[in-house]
Amino acid sequence: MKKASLDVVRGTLDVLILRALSWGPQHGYAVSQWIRERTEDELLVEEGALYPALYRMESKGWIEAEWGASDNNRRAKYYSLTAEGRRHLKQELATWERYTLAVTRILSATTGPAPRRA
Amino acid sequence: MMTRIPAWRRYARFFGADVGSDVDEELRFHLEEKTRDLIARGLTPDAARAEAQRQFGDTAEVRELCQTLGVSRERTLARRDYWSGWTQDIRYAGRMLRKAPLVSAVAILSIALGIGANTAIFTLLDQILFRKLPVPEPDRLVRVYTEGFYYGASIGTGRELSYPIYKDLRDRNQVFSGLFAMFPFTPAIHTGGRDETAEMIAGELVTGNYFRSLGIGAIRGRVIGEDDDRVRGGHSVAVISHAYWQRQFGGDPNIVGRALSVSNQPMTIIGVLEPGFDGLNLASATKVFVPLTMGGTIPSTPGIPADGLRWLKTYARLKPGITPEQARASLTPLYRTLREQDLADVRFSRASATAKQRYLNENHVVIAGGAAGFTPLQAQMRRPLWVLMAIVAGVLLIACANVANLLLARGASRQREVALRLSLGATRGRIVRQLLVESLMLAAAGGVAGLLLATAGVRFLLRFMTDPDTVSPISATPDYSVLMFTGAIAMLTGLLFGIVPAFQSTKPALAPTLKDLAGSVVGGGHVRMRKALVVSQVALSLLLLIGAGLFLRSLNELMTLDLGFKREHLLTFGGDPTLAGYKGQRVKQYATDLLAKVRATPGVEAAGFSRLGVLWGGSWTNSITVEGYQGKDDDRMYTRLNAVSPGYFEAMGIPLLMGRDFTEADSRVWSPGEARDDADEGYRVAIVSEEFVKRFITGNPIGRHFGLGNDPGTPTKIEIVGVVKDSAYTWPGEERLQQAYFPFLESQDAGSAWFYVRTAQDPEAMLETMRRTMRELDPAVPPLQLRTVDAQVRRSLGNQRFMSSLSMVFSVLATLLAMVGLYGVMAYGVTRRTREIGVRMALGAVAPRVIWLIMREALTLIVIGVAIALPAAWWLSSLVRSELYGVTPTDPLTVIAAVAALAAVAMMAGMIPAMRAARIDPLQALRQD
Repeated sequence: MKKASLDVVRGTLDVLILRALSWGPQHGYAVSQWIRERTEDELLVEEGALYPALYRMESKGWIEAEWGASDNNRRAKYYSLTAEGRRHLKQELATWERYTLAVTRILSATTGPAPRRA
Repeated sequence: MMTRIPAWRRYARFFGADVGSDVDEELRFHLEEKTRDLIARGLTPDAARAEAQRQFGDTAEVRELCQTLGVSRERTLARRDYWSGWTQDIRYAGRMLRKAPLVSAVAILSIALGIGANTAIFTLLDQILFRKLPVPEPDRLVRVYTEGFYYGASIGTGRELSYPIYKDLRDRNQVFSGLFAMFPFTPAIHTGGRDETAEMIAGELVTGNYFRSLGIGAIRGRVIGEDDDRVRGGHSVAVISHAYWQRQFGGDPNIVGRALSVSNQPMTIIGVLEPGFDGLNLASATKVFVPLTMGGTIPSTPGIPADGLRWLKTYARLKPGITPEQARASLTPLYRTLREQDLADVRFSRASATAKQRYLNENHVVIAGGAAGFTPLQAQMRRPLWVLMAIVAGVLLIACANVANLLLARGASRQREVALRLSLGATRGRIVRQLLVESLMLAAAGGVAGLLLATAGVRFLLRFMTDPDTVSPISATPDYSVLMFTGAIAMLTGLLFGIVPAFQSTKPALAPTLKDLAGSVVGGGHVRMRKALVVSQVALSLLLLIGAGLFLRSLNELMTLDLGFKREHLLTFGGDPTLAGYKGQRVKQYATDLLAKVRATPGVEAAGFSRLGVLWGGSWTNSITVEGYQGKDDDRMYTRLNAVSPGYFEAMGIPLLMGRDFTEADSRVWSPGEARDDADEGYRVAIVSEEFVKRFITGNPIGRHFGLGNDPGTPTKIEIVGVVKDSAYTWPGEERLQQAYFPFLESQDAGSAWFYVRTAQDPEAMLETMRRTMRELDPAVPPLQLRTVDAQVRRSLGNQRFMSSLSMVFSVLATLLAMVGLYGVMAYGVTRRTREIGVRMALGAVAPRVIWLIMREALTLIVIGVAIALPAAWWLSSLVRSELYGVTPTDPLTVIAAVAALAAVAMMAGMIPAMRAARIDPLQALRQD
């Protein structure tokens, strides 16, 4: 079931995680499944990559972790957005939109660059 | 959704976060959940597990990465916790200190005084004793001098080298990259201004390799080099210091080539030195440097080769890898060869065999550290400064005891707070840390205040120690090492006075404190501790008082000593006409003319002059041979000499005991170039001192003869015409050695003359008149050191005045601090015993009885303190013996006075709380319950 999937850059993964957590505290597994379902397996190739990203963001203070109990009453680590994380997400979304808009404009352009005169 | 885990789980965190197992648990949870989901979708358990693993990726790698990230996060958090603990402590300490402003103020003031005194004295130590020449690698510089028996004349300390010896050592040694020499002199400088009077400034005659060996260059023009060191009298060039260039010439960029008159000798300025270097004497800035070859051409300097005269202060830079010890070992045989050659010199032609033998065997070369250059102030102040350092250390200890005392008292009143915090789970270490932060903050505040005090103090002290007539390069501004010192002692102080109270007040005695019965404060241990502190304060301040008393008595002895002359209504000044170009007979004429003018001044009762000023520290000494007296072999009969004018003894108030004074007839006119026919320097008559007669002459001294020199067969042609009373020569406290006076007007090479003028009125009022008189005679000859003789005596006792006044100030300070401590403990005791006293009074105790009750306690502390201090004083007395004069270190009168003074003040400090105790209203006291 190998696909020509996009290589997920770290920054993108961070934004995806923050987006997933913006609906409320989640454990790592739930976050991974959420991303998988939304992207139809396009983006997240290895679920393991999620965890270092989570730890890194915790150090940066964007998210915080607390141990809690899962739906089936198992001990699980829940992550939630901090105020700073929320701010960061907002910023990233804005940047992302500007970026995609710009790239889309170029890729859908109908005329090529003007030839240069010597 | 998430449900919260049971509360007890949190406590696992108390043992620190376990990052490793947390990561494992988290990853395991992920894999198991995934497997469960896949099974639910219909996979077999085995296939589900494999698929979960595949989708996850490399577990080990993820695990390791997460662990590293987690551990570093934990570390950051721990660090943040730790530092936020400190800021919390500091903020809390600040609040506590503000809450008791009086206690804090007294504590800070105590520390500020203690640290201020220490910083001030340390600044002096640092500036005077530890300073080094501002040259590259000053530690590679050495001083080269000789020690032991010497035959012939010298200028300076008697350890200098002669020019021929210097030259041979310079050219023939293997151990120095440069051996250079200098001769300090004080020329009259005239820069060519029209109405300018000549200014006496410090100068050095230097050898051609002086600047190269030191490693000092010029920022304008060039320095003196080997080419300026070739022809005697042939290099009329001068180099000036940067500071002098700025001050005198306003930093004139066209300075090179300007003319400068150095004691009436025209010179050309060839360069300005790089800033910071002011010559080899660190305590007196040299401003003008002239080639050594100009010695003899410039008045009042010896001319090279000057043969046997020892006058050169010699320094050297060691070659790389050579130690001073190796240098000495290498120079010793060379110096012996030079001495052997020296014996062939004409100077030794009449020397006795013993003298020659002793010169050969009992003279040697010494290599000593030269990093500090030639700074006489260092040797002079070394011991006094260390003694003062010990004294101020005592002051600081007393101040520490005071603050510790205050903190103990406050610790007692804060016992409830501490007990509460302990019972709420704070560790003792954490509370001790917090209390220490408080004391360190007190110490820091005291340190800053002390630094300010010290800066002001040093500025004041420097006036004691350096000649106000010359600019001193010693600065009062604290430098890096002073700041380090102050910081270090402030820190140490804070720990010292903080640590005992901190542990004392956190002693876990929870139950009784929390109950806190009856408003009375609990505390047995800390009261004992406070009393011990007060006892040590009493003992220390008594030690300092005794010390100060001894210095004061020494000074008093010296000030009231019979100097042999009458110092009241007497003023003195010098005039050196040679600096204005006078030569030969004209020099003597100038002095005679000035004397006549001075005597004609209204208000002048008597006047005279001498070759050498008294109590200046300088001396003119020679060995003699006395007709009819056979000295022992090694008794060279060194006699202190002077040449004086007629009327000198009358002006000084030195009684003439026998014979006659000199008259105008006792003079001799020397034609230019006339050679002296004998060793007597041409003198024919002399007046001698009582001591001279006592030592060398039996029978009537008048008409007897002596001669200068001690070689076999020395002629004795000088006739004794009078005898005067002994008088002080270089220093008031010295032994009155034999003296002989010659007629000034008979001398061949007369130079400066020191005038002594007895006035009917206040001599201070005459100073300006004398200045005017000199200007009228010849404005080119400036008055030197114009002042009253009384001021001169006080100056010559500068060291003693410095010691006694400073030790007095510090010991009074120490005593006051100690008394604050005593008062504090006594007052606290009264408060603590209010109820007891109330009961006693209700039962009929009268006021005197209550006072006695309190005073008995104070007395006990004082007596114990005194009992500790007295043996300690006896034990320490040898340390100050060399600084004392006319009083033994165990002088009973001083000790008794110090004890009495201390006891009196201590009784007063104890009396205040005792009186308050006596006024306690029994009803009020009992109702307190």
